[in-house]
Amino acid sequence: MILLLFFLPFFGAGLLACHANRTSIFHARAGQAVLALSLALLAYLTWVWDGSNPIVFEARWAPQLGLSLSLYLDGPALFYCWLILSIALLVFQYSEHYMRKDDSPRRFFATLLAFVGSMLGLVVSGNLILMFVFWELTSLTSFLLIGHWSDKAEAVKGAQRAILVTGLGGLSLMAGIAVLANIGSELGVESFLEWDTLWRESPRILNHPDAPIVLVLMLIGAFTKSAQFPFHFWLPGAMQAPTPVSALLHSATMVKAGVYLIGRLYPIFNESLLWLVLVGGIGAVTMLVGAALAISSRDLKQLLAYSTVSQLGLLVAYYGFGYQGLAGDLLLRLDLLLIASHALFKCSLFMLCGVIDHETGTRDRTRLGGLWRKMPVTAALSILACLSMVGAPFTLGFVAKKLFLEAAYHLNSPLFYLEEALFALAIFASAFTVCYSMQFAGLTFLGKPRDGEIHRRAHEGPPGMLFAPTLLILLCVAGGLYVPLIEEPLGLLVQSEVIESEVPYSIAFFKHIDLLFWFSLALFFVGGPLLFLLTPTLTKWRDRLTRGGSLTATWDWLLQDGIQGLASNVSEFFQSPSRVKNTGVVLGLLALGIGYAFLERPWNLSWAWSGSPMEWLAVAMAPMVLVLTLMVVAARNALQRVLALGFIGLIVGGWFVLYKAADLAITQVLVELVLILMFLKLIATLRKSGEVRERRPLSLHALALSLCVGISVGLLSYTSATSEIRDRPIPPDRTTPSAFYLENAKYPSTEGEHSGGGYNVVNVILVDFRAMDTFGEIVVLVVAALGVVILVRSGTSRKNSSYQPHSSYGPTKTPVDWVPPLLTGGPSTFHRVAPIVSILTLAFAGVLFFVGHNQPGGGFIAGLTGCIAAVPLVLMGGAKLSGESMLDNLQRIMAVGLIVALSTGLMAIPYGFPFLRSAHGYYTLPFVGEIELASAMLFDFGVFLTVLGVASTILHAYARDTEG
Amino acid sequence: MAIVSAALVTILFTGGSYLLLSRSRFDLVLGIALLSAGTNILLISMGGWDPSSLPAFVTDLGQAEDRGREVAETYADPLPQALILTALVIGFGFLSFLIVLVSRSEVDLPGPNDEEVSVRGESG
Repeated sequence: MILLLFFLPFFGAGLLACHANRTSIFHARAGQAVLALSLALLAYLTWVWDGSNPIVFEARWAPQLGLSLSLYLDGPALFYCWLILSIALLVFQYSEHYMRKDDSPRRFFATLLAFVGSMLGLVVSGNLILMFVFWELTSLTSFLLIGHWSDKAEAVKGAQRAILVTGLGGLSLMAGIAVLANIGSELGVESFLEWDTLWRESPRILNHPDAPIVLVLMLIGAFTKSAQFPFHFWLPGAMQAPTPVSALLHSATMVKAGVYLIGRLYPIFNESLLWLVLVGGIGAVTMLVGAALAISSRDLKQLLAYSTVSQLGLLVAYYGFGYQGLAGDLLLRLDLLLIASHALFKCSLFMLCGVIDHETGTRDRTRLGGLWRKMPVTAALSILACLSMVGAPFTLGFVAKKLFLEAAYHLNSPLFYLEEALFALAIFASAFTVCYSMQFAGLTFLGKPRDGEIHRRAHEGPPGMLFAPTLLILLCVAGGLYVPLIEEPLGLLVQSEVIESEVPYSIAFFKHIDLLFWFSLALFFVGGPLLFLLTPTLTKWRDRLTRGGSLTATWDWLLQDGIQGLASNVSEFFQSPSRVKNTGVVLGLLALGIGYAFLERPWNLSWAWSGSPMEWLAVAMAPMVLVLTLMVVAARNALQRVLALGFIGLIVGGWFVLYKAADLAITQVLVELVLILMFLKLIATLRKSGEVRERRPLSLHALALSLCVGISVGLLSYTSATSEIRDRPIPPDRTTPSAFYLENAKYPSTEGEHSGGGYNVVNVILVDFRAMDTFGEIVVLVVAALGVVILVRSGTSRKNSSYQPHSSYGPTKTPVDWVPPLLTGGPSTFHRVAPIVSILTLAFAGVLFFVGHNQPGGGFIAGLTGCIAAVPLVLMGGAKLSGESMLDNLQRIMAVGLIVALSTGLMAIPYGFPFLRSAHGYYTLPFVGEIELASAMLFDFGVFLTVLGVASTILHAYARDTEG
Repeated sequence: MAIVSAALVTILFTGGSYLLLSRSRFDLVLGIALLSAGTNILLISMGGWDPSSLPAFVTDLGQAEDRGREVAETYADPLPQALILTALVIGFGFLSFLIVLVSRSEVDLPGPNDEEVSVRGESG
């Protein structure tokens, strides 16, 4: 039931978002229907609620982590739900008339509903983590709503400012929750982050040394959300939102989330002196600052925004005054009254402000005036709302203000003069309130019209827009005239407050200090008009005080020049548009990383030298590699460089021979061969564009950096080849993977062990033990080949379609003009021999494949060899002759190879074996004798076909790339 | 042997890195080729070297008994070899793709270098 309550708006939001092509009326009405349904649900919940025990719903998800979907509906939560839903309903009704058709109503109403859902979730969350999730959701929806008119630069800026400030606050809140959770695990309390657990454990939490950290962090979260000084500046910027949003989010509900959090924290921390100083102090300062900023705002909405800041300060300060006070507990029971009162009059003021904006076209109060003649209803309502705001008698605001002053008076501070200072601040702020209320109501509606044009155009708002504010203000006045009207329902709700008190709850309780109360009331009602008269002077002072630099400007500067500048500097460094710089960063980090590892561990190098003849052979290779590398790096002639690279490849092949790696040596040589061919063609292309002729001076930076990389990787090589880990004895019951592969390659070493049935261990590893890797690898190869084909085709198709007709270009230019004349010089002989060479090579590839399981060879090597078979054909122009259909066939070979490999692997599954598990058996054939057949060979055949297809495709496609 | 391996790795990585830091695309491809050669040597050197070990063809390994733990000392380590075989073929695919890419980019973006290829795609 309770779950349904807060899922309903989300559900509605989703539905609305799905309904395109409907009018704004439809969306508004649908939203109202959803909200009305939620309200009915809430009414039912309130009805069944027994008045003391909270309604709890809990779905445990990860209880050991304290994560559960727990909902906790007690008195205050119910109050907030009522507040949110009823005001949201009115705002929807109001928006129906406010929003125009072209304002993308679908997005607007769907987001607004989502916001209502998040806000409900926030107040009914039973644990802090869940609450945090909804907390962030409200920030997010608020961001979307502020920036609703995304073509307005100011709106976008305001939205960014809002989400950054509240987002930072959210981070702080999260940090606070984390520290709190830590305290919980130290205390060993289960499900610590549930509200009721927290309240129960509050003495122990308060005594924990980390408690102040928690308090400060969480309060920062609350302060940013509720726009407390010095985070208040985002709220005026948020006023770029459509007015219904301002009315709902930025006066009545979302900004109250911080107040709500403070209210929830109150039972835990109110004993702490820090609570008084922070909550009371910041609240009071915010009251004054907000009010002072409000008096010089020209924009009516801006004025209301600052007044909201000030009122939020009042609410926060109220909780602060609850510190250990005599009547603190009692006062706190009335917090909801204050909140309700503020929501009522501020929401209606925003709506009225929207009406003025809507009907006159401006919110600049210096251009308005005397509007009461044109808009009598709006004027009357505004004046009533302002009266409630200043706390004039016979309004709900009066009761609220009275309560607040009571609280300030009853404060019993251990700090010197703190209570007096706070009280004075409260009086001052109230005087300012009177002042800006006079500006709002007085200058707009009374007096003479300032701008004739606007005045002529102005007219009374439609009844639909006036309905909601009228209702709210009637409640305000009725509540003021007959206090129990508001008091009693609230009284019912707060019965369940955690704090127990013997004194019966009543507002009447405070009547005994009437004298002081009337005195202060008189003080600010006299002071207010005085300030009003002094407004120009005050504004001048304020400007002199701030010297044109406001917090908003500071923030923007910090954001733009500070954070964004820093961010762009950092990304400029790590991700500069220059490829060379990027590479430098990556290489530098590589060298640093390896170097750091060497600094961390002791150098443990041993002199690994056996002095065998083969080792001397290796030593002889080193200078060759050095010279060849120098040639690759620095030679002037591109052909020389490529040939040197080819020689290096051959030496690496020889190196593999020294390491007794036959398969590797063969593969290396084959790969090198194909690559050199491709390099040759690349040179031809580059020669045409003239790049290879460019001579570059030696770059010392690059040399130093690459030396660092080389030396660090060389050290890595040396230590990993000689490190102690290699010599560490292996426990008798364990074996290394290498030993396992060696022992089980042909026959199982122990009964029941899987074996590969082949003597060539490397091949068995590839196609059997680690076949999954191989399968992934051939897929990568296919992707690379297809990439080559696409690259080449993109070039040819563009050329064909544009200026160059193929027929006049293709035939005149043979695709083999990049082949050295040595080969093309004697075409006749070459052409005769080439097919034979190809066929022999293919046959050899077949042999290599079949012996591969036991002797050097296998799918990879055979595939590459097969591709070499294509080389003579390519050289004599076969690629051009065979053309597109050949390329297609080669691609088909790739596909067949992949399918064979895959289906071989899948075949194991019906037999209950894992994917790619091989089976093998021995068969006797006539004339041949005993042979062995393994399913791994079939897999290897797939590999063979794939590699053959891939390599030939690449070679053919590139050779055909006549444009290059 | 390890010291020679280390020397080769150092030479190849230094040369490869230096070419990577060049503005020319052709140098880039050559650099990557050198780096992949160096990496393969690095990998195989990790398997250790023993002049008396046999290639990993287990033809003379007994049927099931008496094979003991010295098998790992008799033969060259097959695991790095399998890894490198994979690396060689993948390197082939990668390098060939790179060669075609550079070749095409030379035709389509005929700048002298790619110093100005921007992350934001300003110069395509």
